[in-house]
Amino acid sequence: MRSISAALQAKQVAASGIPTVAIAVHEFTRGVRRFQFTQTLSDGSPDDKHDAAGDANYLHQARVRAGRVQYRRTGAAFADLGGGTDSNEVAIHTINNTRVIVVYNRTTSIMFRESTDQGANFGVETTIVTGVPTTAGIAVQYKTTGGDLCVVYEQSNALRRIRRTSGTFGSTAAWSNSMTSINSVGMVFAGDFHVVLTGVKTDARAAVLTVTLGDGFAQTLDTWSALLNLITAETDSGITFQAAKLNVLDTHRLLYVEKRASAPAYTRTYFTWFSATHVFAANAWVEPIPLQNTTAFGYSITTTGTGASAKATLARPAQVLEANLTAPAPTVLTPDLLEAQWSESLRNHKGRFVFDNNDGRYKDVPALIAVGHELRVTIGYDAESSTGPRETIVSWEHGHKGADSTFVINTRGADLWLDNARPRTSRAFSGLTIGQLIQDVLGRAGLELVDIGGSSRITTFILEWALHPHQSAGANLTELLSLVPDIIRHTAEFAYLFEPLASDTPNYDYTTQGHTIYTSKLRRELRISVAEIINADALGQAFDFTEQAQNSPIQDRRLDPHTAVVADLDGHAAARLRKAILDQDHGLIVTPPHCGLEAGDVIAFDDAVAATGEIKRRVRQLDFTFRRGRRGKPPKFEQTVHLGGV
Amino acid sequence: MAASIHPGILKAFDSGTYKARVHLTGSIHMSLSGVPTNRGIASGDMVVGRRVSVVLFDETKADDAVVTAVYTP
Repeated sequence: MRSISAALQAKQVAASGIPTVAIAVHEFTRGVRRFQFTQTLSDGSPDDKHDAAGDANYLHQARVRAGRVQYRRTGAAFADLGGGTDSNEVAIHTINNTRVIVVYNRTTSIMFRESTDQGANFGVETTIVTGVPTTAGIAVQYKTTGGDLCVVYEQSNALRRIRRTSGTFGSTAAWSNSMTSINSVGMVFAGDFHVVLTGVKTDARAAVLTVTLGDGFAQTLDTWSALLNLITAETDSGITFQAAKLNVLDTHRLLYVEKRASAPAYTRTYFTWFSATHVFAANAWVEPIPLQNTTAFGYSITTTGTGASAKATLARPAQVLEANLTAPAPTVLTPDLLEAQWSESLRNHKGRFVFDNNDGRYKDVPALIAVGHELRVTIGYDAESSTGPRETIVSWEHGHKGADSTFVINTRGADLWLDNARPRTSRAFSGLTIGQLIQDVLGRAGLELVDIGGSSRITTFILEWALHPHQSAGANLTELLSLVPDIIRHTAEFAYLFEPLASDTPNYDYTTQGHTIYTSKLRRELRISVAEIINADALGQAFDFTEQAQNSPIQDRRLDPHTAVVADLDGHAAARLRKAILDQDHGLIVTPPHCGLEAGDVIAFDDAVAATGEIKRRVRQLDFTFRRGRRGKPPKFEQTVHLGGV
Repeated sequence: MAASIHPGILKAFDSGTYKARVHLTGSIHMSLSGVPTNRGIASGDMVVGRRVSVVLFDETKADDAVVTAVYTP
């Protein structure tokens, strides 16, 4: 249950109060900025290997043109920076509006030139390390404004790192992983050094992978994490990946180029991100999304400017695209709201918001009201309110009926993304826990798993799993959750996982709090009391003999190919019985809205004519209705609480 | 999850284990490895590049499947 203030609690049980429902649309999607890029530079430069970094005043770009390392900052043309025509890789970074460093190779040496005046002047070309066979990738990131930094580069199909501390480069060190080949590397410093690379794995498959070089934040200093697959292509798929770039803007954002040699051949930039509060090591990237760019070396990604004028920037030698990093002020629709209806179950959220359009004020739909943007609801009484649902706009309608003209916005919750997220390729997993599989499925849909009390099976049950392009993330999530006693409550981009226990104490007691119950309809129906899980080599069973009452079982049998371990199959069967209890329809109550109540909460109330003592139920679904009184229709502000078993 | 039937392309076949690597139509990058194959199909007919029919008994387990037919459209 969402926390609400004592003042709001007092208001929602008061004898009277004026409903508050506030509606605003934000330029966010699944909790992250939805950038609207526009082109700010196009000069026809050839497509070369490149990198970019921004500061408060300039976009700094570096490229390798015919073996020459070249540099430009905003407003200037590319000019030679390197000392020869023997370079093939370049990286650039900037910090604190003073330092700019360009790191590049010259045949077998890694060199750098550095500026301390935002790129107006550069120091002399200086060697970092020699004896490096022609490298296939370089990345550099400052760590401190004093110039401490780390360079990561490819050498002999491995990554190596070298740090500069207090102005002095230390020794190089190789990573602890293996690749058959590497063809690009990108990096960002975010506590540790987060690295993305493309190349060919030791199983001969092309891949985009991530790895962490520790700086003592989440990864031990100067140790490397294991490689994590973002996407893998079969040896005979004709796919190669290249031009990996990584940065942290509002969240981690990653780009790479996918190149397909077989028909239909294409070269296309893809991008992905993960939920802003997720950790890099979770590897929970959104299913990569194509960008309208077909260059071989893709885009670099950075930020420029500061404060309200800060920009998210995609850059390549021939083109710069910018979007406001800060979201525009939300579009507030509250004054025009006539009606609002929304329902929330654990998985599915759906809303319909009706606005007055009698004077045609929504004839030109405000720019922020766009499919995919977030509609945020605040609910309460009088001046006291609480954050309500955060939904995604899926459609809008203009309508007339008699003298009324209305503008309607329809929304959905996380189920929209779960139903529409489908992998581009079959993906088979082994050795992952069910919790890790759930995290991957949610991440690909742009949602973040938050374990707030999951069962032990979430972290101990390891199984094989396969995803296919014809399956939605939602279908897979449903299947995974059917194997465990846990449930997930979706709130915006967050998926809160927990094991509901029969012993859970009520989150809210309507009787104790003096919260009015307008109407109630309490039900009792039969539920599954025998569950048998059948595997070719084993059988799992669970029984609810009390519910069965000896002679009237409702039986549930299903196949489970994932395990032949009887204890696991028994666990699956027990989970089926638990879910049957939670799904059982126990009727409903209708009340003045509780502004913090959520699906999955446990509530209690007394009903002297329906039961002796306290009735304890778990919330299966919430339906809200808000309506201003007009044209003979009475005002309405109520909440229907659909009840399930505890 | 329910059983389903899918078209695919044979990418590799091991006549010893009688298992195939199959690229399901619609999968951009990856194929399924270790898919058991109908023993009624002669190994000589399992030519890489030919179309195959694959039954997934449970879509969530890659090798809980069988190649039921090989064909040329």
